[in-house]
Amino acid sequence: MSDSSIRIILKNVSKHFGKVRALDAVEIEFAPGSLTTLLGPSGCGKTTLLRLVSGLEEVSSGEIWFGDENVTHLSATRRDIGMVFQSYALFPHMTVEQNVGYGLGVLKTAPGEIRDRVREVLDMVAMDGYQQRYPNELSGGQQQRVAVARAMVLRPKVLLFDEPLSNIDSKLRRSMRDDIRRLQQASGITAIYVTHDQAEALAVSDEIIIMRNGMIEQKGPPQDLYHRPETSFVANFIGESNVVSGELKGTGENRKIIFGDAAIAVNDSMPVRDENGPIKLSLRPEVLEITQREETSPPNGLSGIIVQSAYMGPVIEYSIETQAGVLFTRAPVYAGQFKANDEVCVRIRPEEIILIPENGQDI
Amino acid sequence: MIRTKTDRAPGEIGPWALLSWLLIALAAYALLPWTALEYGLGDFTPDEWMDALGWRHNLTTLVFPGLLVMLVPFVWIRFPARGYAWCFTVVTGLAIGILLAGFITTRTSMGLGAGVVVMCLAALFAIGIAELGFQRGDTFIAGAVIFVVFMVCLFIFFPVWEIFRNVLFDKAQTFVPLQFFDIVTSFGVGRVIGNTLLLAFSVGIATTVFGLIFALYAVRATTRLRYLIRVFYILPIITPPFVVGMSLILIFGRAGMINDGLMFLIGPNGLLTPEGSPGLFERSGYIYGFTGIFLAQTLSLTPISYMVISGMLASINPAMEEASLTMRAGRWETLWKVTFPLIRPGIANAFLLGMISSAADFGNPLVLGGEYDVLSTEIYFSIAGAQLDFARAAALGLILLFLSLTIYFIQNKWIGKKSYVTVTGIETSGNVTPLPAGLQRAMTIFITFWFLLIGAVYLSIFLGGFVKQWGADYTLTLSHHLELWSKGFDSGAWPSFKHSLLFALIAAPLTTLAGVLIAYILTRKQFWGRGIIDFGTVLIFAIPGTVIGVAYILAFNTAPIELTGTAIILIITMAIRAMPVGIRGGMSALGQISTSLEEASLLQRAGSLKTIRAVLLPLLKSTIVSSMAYSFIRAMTTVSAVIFLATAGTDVATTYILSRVESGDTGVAVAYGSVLIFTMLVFTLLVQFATGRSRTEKQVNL
Amino acid sequence: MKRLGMLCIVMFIFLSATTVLAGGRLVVYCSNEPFACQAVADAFAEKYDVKVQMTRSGSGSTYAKILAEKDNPKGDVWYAGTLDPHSQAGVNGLLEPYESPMLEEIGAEFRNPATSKQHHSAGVYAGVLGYSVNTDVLKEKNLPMPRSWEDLTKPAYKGLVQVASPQSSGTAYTVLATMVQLKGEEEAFEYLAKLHQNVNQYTKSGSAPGKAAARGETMIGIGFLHDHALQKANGFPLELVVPSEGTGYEIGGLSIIKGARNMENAKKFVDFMLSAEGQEVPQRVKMFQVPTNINANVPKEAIRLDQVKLIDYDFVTYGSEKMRSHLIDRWAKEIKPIER
Repeated sequence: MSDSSIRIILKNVSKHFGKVRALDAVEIEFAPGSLTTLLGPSGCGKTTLLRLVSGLEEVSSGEIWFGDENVTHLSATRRDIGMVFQSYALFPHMTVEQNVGYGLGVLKTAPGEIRDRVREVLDMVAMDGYQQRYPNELSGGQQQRVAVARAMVLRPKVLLFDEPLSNIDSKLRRSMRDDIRRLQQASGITAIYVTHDQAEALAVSDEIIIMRNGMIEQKGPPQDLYHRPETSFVANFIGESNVVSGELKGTGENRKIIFGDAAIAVNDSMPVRDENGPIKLSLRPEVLEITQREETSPPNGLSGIIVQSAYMGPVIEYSIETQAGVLFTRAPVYAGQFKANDEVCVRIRPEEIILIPENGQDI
Repeated sequence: MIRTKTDRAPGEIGPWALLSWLLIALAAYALLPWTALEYGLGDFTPDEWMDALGWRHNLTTLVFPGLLVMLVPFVWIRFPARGYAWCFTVVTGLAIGILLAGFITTRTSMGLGAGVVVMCLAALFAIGIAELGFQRGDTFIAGAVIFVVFMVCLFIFFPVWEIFRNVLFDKAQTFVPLQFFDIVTSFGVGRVIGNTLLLAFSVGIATTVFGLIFALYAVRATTRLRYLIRVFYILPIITPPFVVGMSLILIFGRAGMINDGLMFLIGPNGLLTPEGSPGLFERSGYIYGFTGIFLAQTLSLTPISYMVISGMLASINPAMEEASLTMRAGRWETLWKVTFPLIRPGIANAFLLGMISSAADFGNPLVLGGEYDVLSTEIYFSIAGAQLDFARAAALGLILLFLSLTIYFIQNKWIGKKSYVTVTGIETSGNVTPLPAGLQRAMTIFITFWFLLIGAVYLSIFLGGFVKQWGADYTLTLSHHLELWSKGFDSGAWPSFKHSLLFALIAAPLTTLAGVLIAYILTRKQFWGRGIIDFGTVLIFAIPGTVIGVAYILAFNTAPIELTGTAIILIITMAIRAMPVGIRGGMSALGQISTSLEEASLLQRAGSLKTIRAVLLPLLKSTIVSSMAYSFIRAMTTVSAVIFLATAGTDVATTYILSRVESGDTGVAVAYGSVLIFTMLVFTLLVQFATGRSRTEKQVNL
Repeated sequence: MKRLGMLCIVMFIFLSATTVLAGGRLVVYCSNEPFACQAVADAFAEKYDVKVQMTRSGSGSTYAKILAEKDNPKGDVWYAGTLDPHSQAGVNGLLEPYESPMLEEIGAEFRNPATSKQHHSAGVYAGVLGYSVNTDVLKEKNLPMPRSWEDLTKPAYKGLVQVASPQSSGTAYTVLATMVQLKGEEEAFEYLAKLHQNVNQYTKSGSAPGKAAARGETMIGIGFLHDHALQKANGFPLELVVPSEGTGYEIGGLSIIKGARNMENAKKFVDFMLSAEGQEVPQRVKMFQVPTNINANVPKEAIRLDQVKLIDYDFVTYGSEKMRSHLIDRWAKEIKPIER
C-alpha cells in the first residue's frame, strides 16, 4: 500500500432501474490499496455496483466517497478511475500505442513523455514492442494486457476490473490473474474486481464480497468465506458444497449433531449455538471419505449407495444417495474405485464440518 | 495524481467558452439585423441593414444586451453550490422567452441577429442546466440535446401545429372546431380519400407480390438473370419520382409509342386496315388516371419491397428448410408451409411500405393524374391552384399525415414484434433450397418482361431528350439539350441545376450530422423530455413530403419566422426530407459499437465531445460518408416538399423539370431528367468506388 | 462543425448580396407565364435602374397573398392575371387608385374595367377565348373542321375535346361564364352537359389543353387563344378557332397594392406597362396577348379584337365572388359527375 492509496466508501447506496431495484442500501468500505472482489451470480448487482463506483451510472440514493472526497455527483471523467472492461474496449481504429496513450493525450501530455510512459506501462504487462499493432492483430490475452496497461497508465486512484478474464481461455486465465494481482499490489491502487468465477476470486482477492439480489451476503477474506460461510448461499457459491439439514440434540457430553444416520459429538471448537433444534451444515466434497460399507457403520459416518461415478483423471466424482440427501463427493483415484450401486460409508471428520449460522430457512 | 480537485476536466466548459458565447451574442445584437430585412438577406442596401439593427429599431430590445452583460461577471465569479448554474439557467431562459414572446406578439419577423442571439442564449441555457446536473454536467451533451429539441420543435412540431391551427381556426382567428368536418364532408373530398386509399392499397398489393417474386428469384433462382436483380434496386434511388411517370406518357400516352404503333397498324387508314373500314383502333388515354399512376408507382416502388423481402428471405436459416425437406416435404410444400410463414412479417412490412409510399407520392399523380385526384395532388392544387385555400390544404394534409402515421405505427409496433427472423449469431451452414422448377420458369419469363419494360422506360427518357417532338416528329435533334445547357450559366437549366447542387451539398452534411446526433441521443441517452425527440423522429420518418411542404408554407410564410422564398427554407426542407437516412444509418452503426468503447474513453478523462470526435466519429466514418451520399441524392431528387417552397429565384432541378412538364415541353423535361439521372448514377458509382463496397443495399433495407 | 456550416451559409449570402441601387426597388407580383414575368421585370429594371424582385403565382393565389399581407404589404404592384381577382381586390380595399397619364393611349373599354370603377386597375392586355384543333389528328381521323361552340358537342368529336376544370382554373371559369352570357344559365348547363360527353379530360391548368392539342394528345383544346398561338409559333400543327357564335375574353389586370413600400416605382411600372414599349415586351418571349395600348404593335400571331365577334363580357357581374362560386359549384355538382 502506497501513500496515495485511498479508501472507497459506499454509504447507503441504492440504485433502481425503473421499478427494478438493482442495489439496495449497500454499505461497504474498500480498504486502501486492497483488491476486493465482488462475486455473485449474474443479476446480483455486482456490475451495477462497479459502474456506480466508476461514475458511469449515477446512484439513485446514497453517497460514494473516495477518501475524504465526496464523488457521488462527479462524472466518470472526473473521478480519476482506471477500468478494464469485459470486452477489453480497445479502440479498434487506434494502435496499441494510441490506445494506451489516449488518456495522456487528452491531458495534453508532451508526445515524448507519452511515448515513454506508454513503453513503461506496456513493459509492465510484457507487451513492449507491440506499440504499432492494431487490436485486431492481437490475441485475446494480449488485448487484455493492453487494456490493463491503458487502465493503469494514468496512475488512477481506483482500478476497476469488470470480469476481465471471462473472454480468455482457461489456461491463460491463471497467468493473467496472477499478473493482475502482481501489478495491483505493486502499484498499491485500491482495486475492485468483478467476477462470477469463485476460483478466480479466491486467487486474486484480499477480500471477497458475495452479493445476492442487490444486497451484500457476506464480506471477508477468502479463507473466512471458504471456511466460515454465514449462509448456505455463500457455502454453495464459494467452492463446492453439500448443504444438509441436521438437528442438534442432547445436552452436555451427549450433545450431538444428527444428520441422516450419522451422529457427531459436539466439541468445544465447534461454533454451535446454545439451544437445540434444526441446523444446516456444509460438507465440502473433498472432505468426505468413502469406504466400503462394513457391518457396523461408525457413528460419524453415513451409509449410502453410489448413484453415479465419473472419472475425471486425478479424481473420481461420486454422487451418493444417503439418508441426508444425495451427496456429491470427490475422491483421489488412489483411494480406490467404486461402481454404481456399491454400498458405501461416507465419513466426515468433525473438524471438517462447517456449521451455517442461519436458521435453516433456505437451502 | 495527475490533477487536483479544482482542475477542470477536459471538454468541460471554461471561462473562455462562456465568454465567447456572450461575445458572439453581443456582437450579433450590435451588428446583425434584429428584425428581418424587408427584402431578405440576399438582397439589401446598407440603409436597410442599419434600420434593422436592434438598437436603432426599437430601444426596448436593449433588454437583451442588458441581460447578457449582467451575465459577464459570472464567467469568473463562481457561486458556491448551485447559485451559479441557476443564474445562467434563469437569465438565459427568461431572455429566450421574452425574445420569442416579443416577436410573436408584435408580429414582426426575426432577423439574423435575433436568430444568432437565440442560439447563443440556448447554448448558455444548456451550460446552465448542465451545471444543474442535466446529463450529469456534460455540457456538450446538454447542448446537443437542447439543440436537437429546439430544431425538432421549430422544424417539425411548429409546422405540424400550424396545420392544426389552420384547420381549427379560420382566417379571423376564431375557433371553428367543425371546419375540419366541413371540409372533409365537402363535395369531392371523400372521393379523393377513396382514390388515395384504393391506389395505395392496389400499389401495396402489387409491389408486394412483385417484390416477393423478385426476392425469391434473386435469393433462390439458379439462373444468371438473378444477378441483374441485385443491381436494379439502385434505379429508384437515383431517379426523381415523377420521371417514371413522364416516360410512361412517352410510351403509353395518347401520342406515345404504343398508341402510334397500333394506329399505324390497325387504326383508320392503318397499314393492315381494310380500305374503307373505320379501323379497329382508336387512340386511348387510358394511361392518364388510375392505370398510369398505378403502373408508374408499381414500377418505381417494387425495388423497395424487393429489398425488404429479400433481406428477410436471406436471413432465414437454411437448416429450417432442409429440415422440412428431410421430413418428406416437397419444394412447393416447403415454400408454402415453412418459407412463407417465416417471411410473413417481411411481406406485411413491404405491403405497408408500398401503401405509404404510394399515398405520399406526389410526382406521378401530378404528371399522370388526369382526373384521378389523390390527396397529395389535391393538397398541392389547394395552394397552387386558383383558390389558395390554406384551410383545405391543411385539412387534407392532416388526413394524409394521419394515414401515414397509422401505417407507421402498425409497422413498428405490430410487425416489429412479430418477427421470426432466426438470427442466432451462429454461422449458418447448408444450402438454400432451390425453387420448384416450374415456378422458376414462370418467374424468368415475368422478370424478363419486367426488365424489358424498365429498359423501355429508361430508354424513352434518354431518347426523348434527343427527338424533336415525341409522338409527332421523331427527327433527331440536340435542340432540347442545347436549350438547357448552352445558353450561358444564368439561363436554361443551369440556375436550377446549380441551386440543386448547392442546396443539396449544404443539406447533406447538415442532415447527416443532425441525423447521427439524433441517433446518438436516441441510442445512448436517457433523460426527461426524451419523448419529444422520440416523437419528432417518428414524424420525420412518417411525414409525407407534401405535408411538409404545406406545413412549411403555413409556418414560415409570416412573422415571426419568415423564410419562404429563401434558399434557407429549401436547404432545411431537403435536410428534413433526407434525415431518415442519417438517423437510420446512425442508429444501426451505433448499435454495433459497444458502449464500453465510449465508457473507456470517458474513464481516460476524455469529455463527451472528445469521445465523440476521437472514438465514435472514426468508427462511424463509413456510415457518415454513405449517409451523406444518399442524403445528397435524396435532396437532389426530392420534389414533393420543395415544390411548395421553390420560387423563381430558388427553383431547383426537379421543380424546373416539373414546370416544363406542366408547360408541355416534354422533350426538354426528359432531356433534363436524363441528365439528372445520369449525374446521380455517376455520383453513386463514384461513392461506391470510393467507399469500397456497395452500401446502397444496406441503406435502403434499413 | 455545424456552427462553421451556418457561418459559411451566412458568409455566402453576404457575399452574394448586391448593395448599390440607384433607382430603388420594386416588388412585382406577377400572374403571367414565368418567362413573360421575367422579361417584363428585366425590361423595367434595365430601363429605370430599379432592383426588381418578382414573385410569380396564379392570380387566385396572388389575391389571397395580398389579402393575407393586408396589414403589412410586401408587394408593390400586381401585374397580369385575369381581371376578376383584381376587381375583387379593388372592391375589398386592397388596391391603390391610380390614374396613369398613359391611359390616354389605352382602348376605352380597358381604361377602368374593374368593378369598383375607381381606377384601381387598368387592362394591360386582352386575351380571346376559343379553341385550337390539331390538324394532323383531324386529317388522321378524317373529320370536318369545327367552327362554333355548337360543333364541339357533335358525337363525332367524342373523346377529342380537352378543357380545364373550372374548380382549379380561371380560364375554365371564363368558358363557363361566357356560355352563361351567350345562352343563359339553364341552356348553358345543358350545353356543358352535352360537351361533357366529348371531353376526354378536365385538366388542372388552363393552358394544358392547348399544349395537349399541340402534341396531339387531344384533337381539340379549349383555352385562351394566345396560349395556343404560342404553340403554333413553335411549329405545331394547330389551327386557332374563334367560335362563330361569339366568344368571351379576358382582360389582364394591372394594379398598385395599397400601402406599397415603393409607391413611386410602382407608378412608374404601371406607366411603363401601359406604354406601347412596355406592352411589346411580352411579344419578345412569344406571349401573343392583344395589347391594350392602341399604339402598340399587335403581333401577327395574335387574334385581332376587331376581326372577331366578341360578346359584351360583363366583368362586374361575372367577376363577383358570389356568381363565381355559384357557377362553379353548380358545374361541380351537375356536370362533373355525369357518366360518359
